[in-house]
Amino acid sequence: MKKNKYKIISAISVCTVLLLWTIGSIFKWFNPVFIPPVKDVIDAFLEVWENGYKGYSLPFHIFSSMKRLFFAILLAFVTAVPIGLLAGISKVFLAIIDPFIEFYRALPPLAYYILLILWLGIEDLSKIILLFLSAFAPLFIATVFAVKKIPEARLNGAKSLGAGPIPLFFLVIFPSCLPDILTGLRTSVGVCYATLVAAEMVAAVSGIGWLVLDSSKYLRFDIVYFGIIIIGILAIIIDSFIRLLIKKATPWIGKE
Amino acid sequence: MKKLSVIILVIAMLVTFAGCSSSSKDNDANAKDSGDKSAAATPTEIRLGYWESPNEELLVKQTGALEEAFPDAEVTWIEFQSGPDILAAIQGGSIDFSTIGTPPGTIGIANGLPYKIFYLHDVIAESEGLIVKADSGIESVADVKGKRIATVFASTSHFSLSNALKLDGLTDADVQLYDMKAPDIFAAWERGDIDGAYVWEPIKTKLLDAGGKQIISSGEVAESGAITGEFGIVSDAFSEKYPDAVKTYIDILDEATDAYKNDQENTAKLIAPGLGITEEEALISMNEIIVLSKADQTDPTYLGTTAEPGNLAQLMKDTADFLVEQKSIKSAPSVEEFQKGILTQLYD
Repeated sequence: MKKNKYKIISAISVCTVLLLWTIGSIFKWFNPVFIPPVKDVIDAFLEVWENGYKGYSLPFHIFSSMKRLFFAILLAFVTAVPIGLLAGISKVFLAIIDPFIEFYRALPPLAYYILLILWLGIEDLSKIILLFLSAFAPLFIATVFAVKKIPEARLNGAKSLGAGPIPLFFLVIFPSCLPDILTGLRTSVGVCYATLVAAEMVAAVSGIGWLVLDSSKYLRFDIVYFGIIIIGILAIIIDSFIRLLIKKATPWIGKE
Repeated sequence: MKKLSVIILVIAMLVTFAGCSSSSKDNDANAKDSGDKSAAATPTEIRLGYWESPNEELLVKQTGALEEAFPDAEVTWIEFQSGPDILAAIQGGSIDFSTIGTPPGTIGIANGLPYKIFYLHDVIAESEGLIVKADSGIESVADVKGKRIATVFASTSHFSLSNALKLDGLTDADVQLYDMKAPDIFAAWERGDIDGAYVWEPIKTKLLDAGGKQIISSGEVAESGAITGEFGIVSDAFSEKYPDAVKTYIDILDEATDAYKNDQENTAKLIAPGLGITEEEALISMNEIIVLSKADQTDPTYLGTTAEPGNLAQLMKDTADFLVEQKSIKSAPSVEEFQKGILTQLYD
């Protein structure tokens, strides 16, 4: 009951903004170039939906972006989690790699993007690696802290019950860390998604971020607006998907 | 209770927002009023957008002639990498003057951005062109079909490339086009990621030095009527408030054009550091564009006069029509609308 009440408030809030946008564009409160009328934005969406944008259909643009995002996250997950677990267990290993991670994670991605292009070319690989780098650090840090957070008593208890290093890792350490790792994954998907538009700035001809950038060059703000709306909606969908994953993978959370 | 307060908060925020946008309109109106009253006012601040183009405006920047003419004004030069960035800056009120390529300059006027064209700095001839790798197998424009070509989207180079393709019955879709900033093009070329690029100086010379060969130049494309050049634009707020300052700037540009044409060696020496190239390279670049004097502006080929408008408005109309054809912009205004975007009255 309570939950519903807040959902209704959210819905009303969204509707109010849309209503004000509509009324504002009817009464010409805004410069139509910069805040285009709702109708123009819908028309632009329908036009792009039917004819595509600069040679590719809208679903293809979304697919290209999601493909880049997916491979980057996958790569980050299979590297950051094992390396993070190892660094959480071994202080020496952490000391070896920590300076590099601390150094690069503070860098704005655009500062080194040109280097990635120089090394890896203008195709999808450099874009995926840029996204991967942005996703890696938060996931790595979350994993390291997850290991450090495990109660000493739990480890000692398992050890005294006769667990060797391998069962200890797979049956105690990993499941204990999983909730924090998944929360870290959620953060890193967010950061990664925020880098998506930057990744599509150079030499892209597809992708939802590129669509927004390219149409802004021609001041097609009707397309920019619906592009941004799509980017926002996709982010919400991705996030709720990850929340669902967290719920399924760690059903014991909140019930301990 | 909570529900109500949230709604009130949202509405309050939106009303404030709407209030902001209408109050900025009031400010514009105030600026207009005071502009009419004090045409002789001198600016206290002049902010100019520019880029690494070997034109006469760069000479003005290098000699400091503008700073000398307005000793009481704070003059700032802000470097840009592309036309769309300049459009954003002028809309946001961050710059007063700028150089801008004809296609983005046209896009801005077509969308009613708050600026006017007060000058045509130069017409692009050999300074931009399609450079391809010697081993790419490209011998003519028709051969670029299916090849990987880089250019700066929405720029003069992109416009000339599209027109060159059109002359051979091709469109952008027949080529694998990549959108890159000029410096990135050189990196992509070095890596072998692209077969060629339509780009401007000084990157063009770098590609030629790296074993490239030129297929077509913008000067050759211009013979078909698709002329490109560099506009001088001024924000409405500035030109309405300080029309005399704009006239003074035109005279400064005219003097620079004179020096540019008659004392090439010295000009090259002055602008080379601004471009990061050698004097010899600067000399070559300078002869690849056609710089225009103040007298040239009123020529019927260019801005023309208020009584007899020149061809520039028609060129902008053609540019806009082409961009509509390319589905880059939605619609092109009439020639008359474009004519309103040109400040011929400054020359009356």
